[in-house]
Amino acid sequence: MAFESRRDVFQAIADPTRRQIIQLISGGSLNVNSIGEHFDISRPAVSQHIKILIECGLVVIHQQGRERFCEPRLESLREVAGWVVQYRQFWDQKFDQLEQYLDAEAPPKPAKKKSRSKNK
Amino acid sequence: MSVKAKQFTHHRTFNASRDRVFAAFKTAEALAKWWGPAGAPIDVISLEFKPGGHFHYRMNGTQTHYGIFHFKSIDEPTSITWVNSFADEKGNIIKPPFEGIDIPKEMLNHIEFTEKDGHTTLSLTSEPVNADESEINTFNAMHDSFKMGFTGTLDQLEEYLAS
Repeated sequence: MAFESRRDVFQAIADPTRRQIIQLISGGSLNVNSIGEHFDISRPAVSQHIKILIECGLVVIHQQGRERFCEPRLESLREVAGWVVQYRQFWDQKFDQLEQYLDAEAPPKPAKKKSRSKNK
Repeated sequence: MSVKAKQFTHHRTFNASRDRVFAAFKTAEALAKWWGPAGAPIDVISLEFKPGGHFHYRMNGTQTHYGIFHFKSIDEPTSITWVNSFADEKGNIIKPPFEGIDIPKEMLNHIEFTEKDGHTTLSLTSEPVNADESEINTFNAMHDSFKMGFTGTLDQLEEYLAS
């Protein structure tokens, strides 16, 4: 598909299956077959996603005996992850400061509940 | 071919009435105290809190940056819509001062204020405007990684990257 020609970290994480694969291998190398077992989609479909991850530079394959292992190369994700976290942090920080501002500007509360005048 | 930008959403509930929360967006005195980098109050250069008006400010950190709001619509006390950008000292919109990644220059922010039982929730949506395809793709990738709970695994990922 022509529109899938982008091969960078954003293309890599644009698909939920690929994000799951990244998650699976983020702890270390996994063999290709065991990655496939985590998905209901066909093996060729999983292989296609792995191929895209390789082309995007997030995975390298190495052969060990008869098995093929997916090794994570997730350094380029740091940039994206950093950005994701930063944008959320940007707003959390604004909201934190707004909260502090509102607390500091809060109108004085009645010292005791008893002191409130009662409406009968 | 045009790429459509997805929305970033976020919200927070404050222990304050809607009028008080809304008021924090209205004056230079209030904005100076909370809209700015952590622990670094901003200098308000100008503020016109009305549709078509703008809010131009200086951020005093290790480096000085300027930012600007262009208010699009204000519906007191229920919503504010504005475009937020980095700026120069004259208020001209500039590219974000970050290297190596295409961040949208202009973010359209919309905040809804809703009050319940004396608490006020701010619901934010944020999306790029006037962005090129590369900027939108960046933003969309960022958005998706939120949506799918990817951030939940980020600690693990961070650990991996740090190791």
